[in-house]
Amino acid sequence: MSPTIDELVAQAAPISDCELRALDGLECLADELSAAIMREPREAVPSPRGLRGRRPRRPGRSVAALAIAVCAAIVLAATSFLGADQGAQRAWAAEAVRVANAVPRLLLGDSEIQRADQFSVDFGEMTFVDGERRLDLKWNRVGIGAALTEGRRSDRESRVVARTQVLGHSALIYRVGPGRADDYLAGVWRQGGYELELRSGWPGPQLRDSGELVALLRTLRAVGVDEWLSAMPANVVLPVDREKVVRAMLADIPVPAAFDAARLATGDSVRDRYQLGALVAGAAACAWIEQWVSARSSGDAAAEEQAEGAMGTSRNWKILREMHPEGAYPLIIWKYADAIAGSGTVMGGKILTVEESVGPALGCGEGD
Amino acid sequence: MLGYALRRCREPADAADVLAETFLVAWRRVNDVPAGEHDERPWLLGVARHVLANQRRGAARRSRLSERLGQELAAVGPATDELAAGGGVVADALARLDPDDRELLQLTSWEGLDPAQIASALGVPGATVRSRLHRARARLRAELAALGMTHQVTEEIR
Repeated sequence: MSPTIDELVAQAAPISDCELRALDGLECLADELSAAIMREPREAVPSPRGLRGRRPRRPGRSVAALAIAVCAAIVLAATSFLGADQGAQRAWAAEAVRVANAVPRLLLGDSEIQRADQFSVDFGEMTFVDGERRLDLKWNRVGIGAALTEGRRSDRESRVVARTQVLGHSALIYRVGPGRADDYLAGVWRQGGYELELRSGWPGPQLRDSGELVALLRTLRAVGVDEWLSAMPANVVLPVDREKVVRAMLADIPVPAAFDAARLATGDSVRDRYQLGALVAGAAACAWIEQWVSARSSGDAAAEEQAEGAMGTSRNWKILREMHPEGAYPLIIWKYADAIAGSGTVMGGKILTVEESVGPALGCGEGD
Repeated sequence: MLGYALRRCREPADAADVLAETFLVAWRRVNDVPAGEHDERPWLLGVARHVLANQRRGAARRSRLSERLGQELAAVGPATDELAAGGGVVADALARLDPDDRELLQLTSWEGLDPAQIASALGVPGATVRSRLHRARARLRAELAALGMTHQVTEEIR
């Protein structure tokens, strides 16, 4: 059987855990480490950046959050004065406005946004299309997720080849994979508490001329909330439409009696139809698989058969058929439909039971 | 954790530094460390990522503990040239990916984390990790093809 991408990556590791365990003397090293560390005082230290959820709230953050909320309220109040005809496009839900107010709202010249699959206050990415060329713009709030500037600086495959200004901010142009026939360029800069990167996307011709990238970076323009949200592609589901879209997606998906569809209709990130479809179809599949696992362990043949039957219809779920050409999520659901109708196992590098693998595979139990 | 550090540092002394500092942070913040191996490991890897980033900025200072560990690791661990030995075409293709994409694939394949654990280590939603992972695999496939590695690759289940 051919290797999976994950297996190929694993084989490329400089040293595997298996090889490490085979080394003599590591147990002594672990003992030494734990003994020495436990002699250290347990004084309070600042939390490492990026470990969210456990930090005490700082006044500065509260003020910033309040400022964003006030800003959002002002925009909502302003847009609510518009007539229904003019205002239809402008009735952005509070969540979308909150995101739009916080993040750097950039558009690239007159290029269209082809993809903006999910974005929130912390991070986001979108693909612009300019003729045959695709350009990926990515942003991360400083301290959240992988650090773009640090990632490029410490990457031995990247080299600074030019410097420029983007909307008044210093930017570095990196050549990634210098010396290779298929290297590419990426521009990286910081702006308003965010790190941003613009690079040529995939598939399509790559940027190799730094002058060309500098020229493109100079076409970036900061826009207002309305213009930015209006530029989103049609497949982006704004929070204001989410309930209606979720209902439509669930129209041909059978769900168990206790299924909580209302939970799917709320969320604070903006998703495209693929991402929302994965959330909706995944929630239904998880609910049926959970019923199947529980019915098998309690010997409830009717509930087991009902779950099998429902999952058996998944190849006809409209949203999965729509998502199929774009990504692998539908394939994963269909693998589980086959597994519960057959051996109860799936193959993913090794044989795994449905019960042990479905959580990470489909994201069961995760919210928005 | 040692594997994580060695796979990213190449120099055993630097790996010892990351390991010692990570566990020192964990010891000092032991009340914050989630219970259970499933949640504890991503938390530790989240700390190690930041220690590593500091080290790459040259901001880390070697403690006596990490110096001693580094000497012992140099004695019992893999040699620097072993760590530097490549993974051939796949390593080249990985090097050409976005740092974010590369890290997702490495956390999956090198550290064996599932998407929920990666989400916890990186501080992003699980759904985002899952979709970025699909895209990162697609990009790696494309980079492998560009480097002439064209044999069939099986679809992952997660």
